[in-house]
Amino acid sequence: MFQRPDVIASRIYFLLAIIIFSPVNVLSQPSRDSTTTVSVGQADLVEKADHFYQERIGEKTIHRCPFNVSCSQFFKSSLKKYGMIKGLALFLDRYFYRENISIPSNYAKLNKGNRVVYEDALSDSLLNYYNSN
Amino acid sequence: MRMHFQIVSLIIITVISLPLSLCGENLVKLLVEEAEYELARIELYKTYKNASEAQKQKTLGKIAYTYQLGGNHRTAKERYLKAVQFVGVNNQEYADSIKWNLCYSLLKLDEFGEAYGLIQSIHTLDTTPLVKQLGVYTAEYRKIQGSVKYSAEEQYLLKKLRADLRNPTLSKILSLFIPGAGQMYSSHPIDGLQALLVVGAGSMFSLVAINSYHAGDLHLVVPVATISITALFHYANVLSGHRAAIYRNMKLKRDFLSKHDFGFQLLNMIE
Repeated sequence: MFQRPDVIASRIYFLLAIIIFSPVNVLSQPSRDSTTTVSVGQADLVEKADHFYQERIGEKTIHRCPFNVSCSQFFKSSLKKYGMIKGLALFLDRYFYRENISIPSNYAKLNKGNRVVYEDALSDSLLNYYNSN
Repeated sequence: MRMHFQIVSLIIITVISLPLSLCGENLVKLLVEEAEYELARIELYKTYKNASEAQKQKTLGKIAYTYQLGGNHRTAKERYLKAVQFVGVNNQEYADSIKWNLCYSLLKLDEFGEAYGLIQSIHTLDTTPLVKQLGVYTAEYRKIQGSVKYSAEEQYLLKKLRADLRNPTLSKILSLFIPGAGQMYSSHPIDGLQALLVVGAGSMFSLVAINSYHAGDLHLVVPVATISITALFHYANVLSGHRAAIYRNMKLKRDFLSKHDFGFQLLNMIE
């Protein structure tokens, strides 16, 4: 009926890991100054993989991307701007959470060539505005 | 024979292009009316190249205007800033018209602080519509709204808009404690549901992996990996909560301004 103390401890550790992980990463993010770019030494491999994807596969799948800046380009720029962890998390947000049937009602429409895409870019100045208020 | 053909072609081209070059300004006006901004810009750059210093100032303003009409506000901003630097102190009215249009691009680029500063330096034009637009873009920040007198109806609409806006920080905190809650609070319910499912599934996998590790069925690497991946997805969910509120607010503000523009219009720089 009662669980072993080490199992309870591991569950608490697990919850703590999730709760602590997020603020720690928020604190470890670089300055929000728009001119600042992050050194991406650790992200080189990921960036190369993304580049490979854009070169070889991207052209065949671009028509499926509903957003204005393609997901691979978004990934590349967020890695450069925010570093490995936050850049990857922003990409996961876009790819796993925001890409769904509610896109037309959530974002501004944009005609790009013969495709209709949706604008989801948030400018640095807008983020700064919200962070300063 | 070939030489003759070339001469005849040259004469034909000259005859056709002569009226175009003579009508210069009208051609640009016509092209802008037809929404052929790139062609208009080519004509303006031709003028700019051969113009005197005084003419260059005005042409630069016109070039910026064509960028603005084409929706390229970043380049429009650069050109307008250059044009403002060119304008002498004795031409305050023209400088103000450039600043007016520049403010529009700044608002589109979400550079509210710069726009506010620039509005303060406009003296020969009534800046009320501009300040009201800025007041909508910065509806969370009540100080700007206090500096302009809104009508009773406008005040009511603005109050309603402000009540509909979501707080990005609160949204982030909600997502931190309950995955997807921030997105749901920010009217992105499907995003929230996806976040809840992904983080929930990750948490379940992690719990199973931890229990299996304690039972001696799994190596430590598996629970560590599942916890790390789940934590990353949870972090993405927190960021998503924050951004969902911003997306909602910006959409509401743009929709509001498309219905109530407070009489704000771009000044035509081509005339």
